Amino acid sequence: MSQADKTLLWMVLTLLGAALVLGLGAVWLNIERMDVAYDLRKMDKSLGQKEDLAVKLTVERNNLVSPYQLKRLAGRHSLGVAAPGQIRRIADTR
Amino acid sequence: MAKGSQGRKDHSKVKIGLVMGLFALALTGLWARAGWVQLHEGEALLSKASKQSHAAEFEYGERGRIFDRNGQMLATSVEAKSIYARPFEIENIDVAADTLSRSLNVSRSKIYKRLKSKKKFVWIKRQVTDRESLAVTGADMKGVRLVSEFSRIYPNGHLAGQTIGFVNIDGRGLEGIERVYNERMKPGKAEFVVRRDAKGQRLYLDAQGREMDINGLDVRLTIDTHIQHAAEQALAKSIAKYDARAGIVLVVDVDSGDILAMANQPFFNPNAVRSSKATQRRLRALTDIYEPGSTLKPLLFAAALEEKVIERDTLIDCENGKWKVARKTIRDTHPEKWLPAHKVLRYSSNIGSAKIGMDLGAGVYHDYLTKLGFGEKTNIGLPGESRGILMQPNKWTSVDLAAISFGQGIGTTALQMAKAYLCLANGGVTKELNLVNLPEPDRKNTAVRVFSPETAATVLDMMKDVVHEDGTGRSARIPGITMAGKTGTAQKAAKGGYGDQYLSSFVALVPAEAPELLVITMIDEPQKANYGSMVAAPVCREITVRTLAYYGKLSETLDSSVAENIHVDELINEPMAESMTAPKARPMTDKVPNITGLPVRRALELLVKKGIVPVLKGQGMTVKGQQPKAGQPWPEDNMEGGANDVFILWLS
Repeated sequence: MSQADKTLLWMVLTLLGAALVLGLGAVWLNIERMDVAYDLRKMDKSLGQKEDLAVKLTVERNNLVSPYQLKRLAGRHSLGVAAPGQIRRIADTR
Repeated sequence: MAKGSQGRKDHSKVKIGLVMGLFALALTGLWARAGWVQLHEGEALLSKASKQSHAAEFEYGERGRIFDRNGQMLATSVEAKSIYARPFEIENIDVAADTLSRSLNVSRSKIYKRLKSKKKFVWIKRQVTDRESLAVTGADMKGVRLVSEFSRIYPNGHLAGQTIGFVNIDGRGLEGIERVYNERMKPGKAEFVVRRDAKGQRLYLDAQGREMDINGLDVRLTIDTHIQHAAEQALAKSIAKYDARAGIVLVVDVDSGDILAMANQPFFNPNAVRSSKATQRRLRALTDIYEPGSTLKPLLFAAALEEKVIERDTLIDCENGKWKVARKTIRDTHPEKWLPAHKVLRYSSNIGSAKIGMDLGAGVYHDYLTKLGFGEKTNIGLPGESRGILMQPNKWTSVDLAAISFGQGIGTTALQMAKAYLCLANGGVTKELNLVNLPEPDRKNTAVRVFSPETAATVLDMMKDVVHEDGTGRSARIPGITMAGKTGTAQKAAKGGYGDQYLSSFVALVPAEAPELLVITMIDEPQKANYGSMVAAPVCREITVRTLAYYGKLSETLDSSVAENIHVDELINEPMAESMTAPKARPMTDKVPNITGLPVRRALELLVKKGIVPVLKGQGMTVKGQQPKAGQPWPEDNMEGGANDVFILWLS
């Protein structure tokens, strides 16, 4: 076998090896991609649920701090609107 | 052996040839089939494969929210599940109807009828609760599915319900702000492709199509929920007390023209549109036309002063409370003979006002009323606004002129009244009313000077006498605060003339000298009393007190003569002399007492009396710890209260 033939053979073998490695790599990447896709979908769903919950909690919070609720709460603690003459302003002497 | 074997025929070549032929045939067949599939059916199969492994998905954004001026949420959208069915997929309709009826609390017959339908798609129940959605998911019925939708929630219930409006089940604004800003608030839709696996589960492919912002834009109102609440409470109380038909309250910030509260009774809760009546949903402040009565008089006086028809002390013959114009007799509730102009307003004399109106003339008076915005919309931007009723002056008879002078024979909305008084409070220059902060209203500056600053100040001074002297508005007086006010008790038109029903109203401007707050109250058809001074003035008073308390602008003193010269803003920056300096430290005992467990207010009073302003740490109303501890000596006299954290209270 001439030197040129040997070189050609090595090149062919190298290329075949590279094709095999690349092929296997592509398969591996595809599997990984699918895994990531499943995970992302799960996280996406979970994020959606959390955002939904956050909105509901915001609504609940707003309901709790609404003037009607605050007035009821204030009434329970014997608090009310200041009448004229009841407000005192203390000067900041610091 | 060799001979024998030589005698046999060698078939191996044939066999090999046959096998090769078969292989060649099979391979050719396969190649031919592959070529057929690839070249002929390729496109169709590719699209089928794509349908199996990819799916289109939609995502709807969230409708924009509505906030008050401080960022308090007034309307938002919450994701809710809606349940639908594909009747042809359901195996046992009886079982499905039973389960759905139980889970959703809907009558079985109704659900059964829907499931029996020949339609491909039927709604079972839309926007169900989380509990109902879980129950249906748990039942896992074939042909019954859930889909996400957004339902509109109004966390404050009926607070400013008519102003906010409401949406239909598909999320389209039908009334109020929801309707006007529907285009701004309505959500977008994103369409994107996802990959499906063998089981049909969807996988995340990429973000393509999702990166766009599909949420609707928010709207911020000028309303303040706390002032709105105060207005609604005071209005509801008065309406219940006097068994009235309806009521309106408007609170306006004079400086900006922002509407801080627009209360309408009966209330309307946008969370429960179906159970409401049309009369509840009406935003009366801008749809309903009323004859304002005596609350129009200050505007007549302003016009007459501006035209120099009268001066503050011009004497006017009030005819001892009875005066005939054409064939109509005008009467006063407080009969007087000669009154100076300012007392005509103070005692709300109809005869005196009619005479001023006649001296002014129909054309001139009409011009002023037009400049103030009567007879045209305020363009606040809400649907259904009325123009009011203002006849052309050439059609006014002498009776009309007399009647319009004291606020009868003219139809105005509460909003028009607010705009007219805003001009007076603004030194005689008109100003637009605002209801929306965001998006900023795109309006031209149409400010016009209608009255000179002197005229406006004179009228405000006359209105101040209505409240602070022996005028009709005494019941609105707030100790320590000056108020310019005017009562109104207008007879309501009925078939063939005026009936026995009234509109009681009151207009308040606080403080009287340079108004910062405008409060208008109208109570429609009160039954147990009808005078504006009895029915509407106390409502204005309560709202003003609560608004000033909320802003921390209530006076420290009950003496209005002390407060008269002080601008309410200055009350914060420059406290009254009595509270200017903290008293000098004069410990009564040598040692610090135990103040743990005391309410914070009590503890503060105790320490302030000793000249110490403590540093408060934590939140709460009770003192749970103190520094210095009980029994230790008081901080040194020469140390300023609060400086260097000389006294610390921990709260819980």
